[in-house]
Amino acid sequence: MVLSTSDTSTSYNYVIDDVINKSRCELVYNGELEESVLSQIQSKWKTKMIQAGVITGTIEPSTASIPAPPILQTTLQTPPNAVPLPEKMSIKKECDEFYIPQQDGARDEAMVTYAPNDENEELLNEDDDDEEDDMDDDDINIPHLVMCQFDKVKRCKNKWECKFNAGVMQINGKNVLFSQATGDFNF
Amino acid sequence: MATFELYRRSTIGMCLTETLDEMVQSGTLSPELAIQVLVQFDKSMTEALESQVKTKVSIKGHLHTYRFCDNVWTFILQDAMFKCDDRQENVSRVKIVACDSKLLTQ
Repeated sequence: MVLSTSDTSTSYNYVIDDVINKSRCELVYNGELEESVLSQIQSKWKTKMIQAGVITGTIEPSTASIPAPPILQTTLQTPPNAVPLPEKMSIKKECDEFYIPQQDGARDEAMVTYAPNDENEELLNEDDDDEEDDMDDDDINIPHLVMCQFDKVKRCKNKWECKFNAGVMQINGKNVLFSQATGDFNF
Repeated sequence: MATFELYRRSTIGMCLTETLDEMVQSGTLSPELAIQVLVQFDKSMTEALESQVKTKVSIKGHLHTYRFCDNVWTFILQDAMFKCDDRQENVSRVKIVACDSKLLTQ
């Protein structure tokens, strides 16, 4: 073990207990949620965490997890970067859309300028497409993930300086939590 | 209190989401209550990271891709090095997703 994960186990247990205790205050005491259902959430959750190897403890046999289709996952989970991003769009398409109004405005002139521009754009397109193919930044393809908050993101030429806080790092199969992190990146 | 859904993608968040999914599937839990528990997780996780964790980390690497969208920075690093005291982890490729911390204090 290179980075310590024992602290993570302690913090995760704290989070589980906090969620269960506060849900009890908010949902059980006003009669919305049964205490037995709440303890079922707690034991199933802990079992999954132990199976995932992120907390230590003993698995209760009665609460062994049964895989079920994660239907809710799609509705409950809205990852912050789930919004279709502009750079994902085809640049060719943007160019076409861009030039159409010009052609409408001054057809003859636009026809003259369109061809060389289009060639330039074609070159850019090819480069960008290649990079897009290389990038492929799906979570599945990048198993290492850091979820955190940023205080500062600064760029000077190709040097990026970042200050992060309240982070969860999932790297090399380990969960490591941090209160603060500095990022020094070269683009 | 403002919260981030960001941490639901972590192992602890995924384990809770799966648990709630299964219980909604089996009819033990209503989807509304499941969401309320998940929102409580967002709060508890943020609080725990602020109050329980003291670790400081340094991240270095080659920035392959950056993106800023809806107040969220996404960085994809290549040959990244994570340092904490004298301990170190290296990864060939890592994704960093960071929400604006100022949104929580508003």
